[in-house]
Amino acid sequence: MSIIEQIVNGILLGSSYSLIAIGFSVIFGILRLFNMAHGEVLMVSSFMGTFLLLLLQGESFIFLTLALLTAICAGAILSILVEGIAFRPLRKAPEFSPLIATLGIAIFLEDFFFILTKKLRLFKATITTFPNPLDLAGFTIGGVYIRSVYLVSFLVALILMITIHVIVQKTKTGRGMRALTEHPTGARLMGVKVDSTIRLTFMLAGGLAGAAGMLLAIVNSAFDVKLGGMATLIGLVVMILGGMGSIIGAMVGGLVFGIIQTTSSYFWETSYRDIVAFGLLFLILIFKPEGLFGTRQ
Amino acid sequence: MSYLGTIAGLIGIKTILALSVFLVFLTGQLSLGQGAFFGIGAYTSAILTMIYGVPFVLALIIGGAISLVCGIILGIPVLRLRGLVLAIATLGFGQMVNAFFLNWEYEVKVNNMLIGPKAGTGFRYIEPLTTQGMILGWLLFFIIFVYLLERSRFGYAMLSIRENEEAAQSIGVNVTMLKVTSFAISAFIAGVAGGLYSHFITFIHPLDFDYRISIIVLAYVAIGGVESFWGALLGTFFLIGLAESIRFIGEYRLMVYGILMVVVMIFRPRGLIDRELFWKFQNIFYKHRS
Repeated sequence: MSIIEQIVNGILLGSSYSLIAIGFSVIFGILRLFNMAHGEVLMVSSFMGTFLLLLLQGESFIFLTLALLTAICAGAILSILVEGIAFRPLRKAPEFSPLIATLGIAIFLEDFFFILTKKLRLFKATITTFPNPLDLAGFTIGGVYIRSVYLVSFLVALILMITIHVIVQKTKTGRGMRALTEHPTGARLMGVKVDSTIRLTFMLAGGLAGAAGMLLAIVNSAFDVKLGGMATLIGLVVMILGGMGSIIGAMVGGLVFGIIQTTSSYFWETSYRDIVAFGLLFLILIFKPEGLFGTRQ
Repeated sequence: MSYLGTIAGLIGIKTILALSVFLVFLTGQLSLGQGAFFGIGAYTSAILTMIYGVPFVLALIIGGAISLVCGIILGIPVLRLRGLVLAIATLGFGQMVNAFFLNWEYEVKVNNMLIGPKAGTGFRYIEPLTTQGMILGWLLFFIIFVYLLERSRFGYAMLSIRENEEAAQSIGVNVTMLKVTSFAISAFIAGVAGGLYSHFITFIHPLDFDYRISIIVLAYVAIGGVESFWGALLGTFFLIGLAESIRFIGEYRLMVYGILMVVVMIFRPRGLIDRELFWKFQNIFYKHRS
């Protein structure tokens, strides 16, 4: 595979990372806290979508769309639950308390679904296959081979990113979100409904995570319980790379991270990918803690 | 070794690890990378005893020392960061070290047998040199050390950083130096715990040292209470005792820990044994004595 092909794949794959990081970023922007259960929200919604696909057992684009919508709804609902359990009661607690509580939710969900998928017959790869009409399709443009599934996931991610951008920039609730990010007390005094805005933010973040989870499952043609922990780590790295709290930063950061991942496995062995990714996190935190698009606080 | 003996040993090792987490917290920092220091100590000491024939106690201390050096190297750049961002940086460090162990092969022929860490398959055939007595000895040593440290000039300076960093700095506390020191000592303690672990279990795998162990140990300390030394200690005993004493829980251990972490944080965000409770007990104790 040529280096250009790797870069193209990196951009296409990175769009899913952007979706994860946007969720982290809007939550951090509004609360100045990390949601360590965000990756597990993604994992659970990916589970829900895959569950539906495996039940329907048919290779069709309608089923894929249905699964994607299910995952988005599941993510949004679960994310609101996470906010109600681990953030709302802890508004006045020390800042590390929500971090520990969300870590608790994360290890609970990971273990619960690990045991569940081991017990469910439906999830044994030997019994059922992941119905995916896009699996082997692909085409070539100017000597660069592109898997259709990558392109479709990129387009879906792009549509969602544009949607979220419009919501945040053009609607009244979006203005409330931005106001809370900029100056919490000021926003409250100006009549922004704090509780419902925070809930809406979590809903949006969860919906994006759900979409990303389902897209990753479709790209890999499999559901993986370990996806959650990985998504949390990638989401954090990308958010810090793009600048904490910046939505544009998260979008661009995801694509940059995707390119770094694919090109680094072009130059080195694939197993060194994580070292490169976390080495990068480290260098950014030390030399440019505000990230690509963030502002210094 | 009997089942109970193994459990007792593991409780001791994890308590040592919990002490190392508590020590970082003395300066108000949260480390999610203790698993990495645990792993560095485990691998280093096992390589030293098995391949280079270094005496066990010396290997333990060297393992701890290398962990300490890594702690300083990590600490100096990272401790400029604050609070949650620092926690994420330590998490990243832990995963980086873990990815290194997952790729690292260093096998040497000793007595016609290939010995050493072999990437994803782990490090086998480590001699079982750790005894429960040894674990207890190190545990008591570290307990006394942390107890005395918390009550020394250093300890009070560390606590002042936790309460208010700017105020501490303004009265002449060397914030950076103390943060790096507490980080380095904590890395040493975690490294020694790793050495004890590898020669106790006799087989180590990179995934024993990933972010999960860091989170589990943090759960012990956070549930017990981060504000006092007794919280960290009792939290660890309570949680491991809970998981090991009821066999039903064993399989669902992580789920139970997860629920406990959430519930305790909601109702007692500073852990089960916070400072007010601790002082209340202390007052009762002193009144009773006088």
